[in-house]
Amino acid sequence: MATQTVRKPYVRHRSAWWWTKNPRYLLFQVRELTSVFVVAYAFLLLWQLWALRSGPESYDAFLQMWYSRPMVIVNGIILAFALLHSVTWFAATTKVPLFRIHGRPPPVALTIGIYVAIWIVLSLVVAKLLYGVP
Amino acid sequence: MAGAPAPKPASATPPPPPRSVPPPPPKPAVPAPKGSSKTIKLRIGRYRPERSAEPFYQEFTIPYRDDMVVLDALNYIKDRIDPTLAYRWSCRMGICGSCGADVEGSPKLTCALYLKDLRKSPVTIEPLANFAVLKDLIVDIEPFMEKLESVNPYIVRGDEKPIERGEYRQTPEELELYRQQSLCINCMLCYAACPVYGHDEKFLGPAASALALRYEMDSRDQGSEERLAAVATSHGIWQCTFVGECSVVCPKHVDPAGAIQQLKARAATRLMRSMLLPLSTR
Repeated sequence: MATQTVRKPYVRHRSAWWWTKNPRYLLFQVRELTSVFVVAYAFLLLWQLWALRSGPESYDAFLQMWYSRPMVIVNGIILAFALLHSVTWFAATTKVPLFRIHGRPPPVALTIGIYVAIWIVLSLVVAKLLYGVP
Repeated sequence: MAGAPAPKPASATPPPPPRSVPPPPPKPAVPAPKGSSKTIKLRIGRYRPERSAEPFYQEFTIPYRDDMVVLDALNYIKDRIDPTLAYRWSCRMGICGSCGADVEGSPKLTCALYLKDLRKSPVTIEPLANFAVLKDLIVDIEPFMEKLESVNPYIVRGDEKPIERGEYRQTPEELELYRQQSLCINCMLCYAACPVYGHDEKFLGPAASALALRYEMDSRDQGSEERLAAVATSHGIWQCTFVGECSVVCPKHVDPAGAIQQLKARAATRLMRSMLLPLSTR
């Protein structure tokens, strides 16, 4: 007698809140979210350029808005997300070893240290060019 | 009524009792865990397609010792309480990769997770996430097997030499380049941890990508062109958003997240070379 196979694979539904069940998933989502803030800052810079092009009065009004307390808070939030993105990105880039030491990838801390050092040096060069400091 | 049986004479010998099937030999007794004064409550995901359309949970409270792992608990339940419980296992030593399950929402090898290290009560044990369930803790591994096959997981030679000329030799340094990726035991924990695979089952996924890199880095292989073309697709390595959880849960430290990023770098380099360099130097 032929046997009957009762094979009914059950596909489970994934909750829309899957990213709240693991802190690393949450960090990933926040890292993805940082792009929104980076884009927002790009639009602010475009706004600044538009104000600059529109004449001195327009630019003065922009600067008055720029140094207002709400905008300082907004910039602070954007800076925090940009820093989070940078730090997590540096940690991520260690997955592709740029060089090997005795055939093995370099220690993660060394790779991150090199990237952060380059980042700081480049930031100082930009600060020097823009503001003459340090 | 015609054909009615005649009554049996009272003096007839009583008929022999109906022959019954002899009882099965007793199962070898499962030794009760000695010194198991502690108990643990397990909440196990069940799915019995022949009886119910939906999965459900069933709780078991069992005695345990500190040296018992989750797989021991499952074996205890199957041997002593409910023989219908279905799950995969084989080696009990983290080599075969068949005993994976989600324990408290995190994919684990049940042979490598001690009961004493579990804090919650009850402890929830479910089939690996992101896979279709066939029965209880058993998931459908066919999609995973197809992905493994899709990356040409073997050494491809353009210029095969005759066998009389010996094997393709390799230095320890050349072996070291792919040794980490070669340690994969196909336990699929990385797929259960991958939100991208959970979102789209067409995604090539972590283990198959690590397997591709294992052959990409092999000095004896000459099939890079075809293999990279197979993995550098929209459902291949480029779909990875680098959550990184696959490397966290990997019990053999294969680092599939790193493997995917290395494949991305190799694929991007190949593309740039094809665009920028003349044909003769690619």
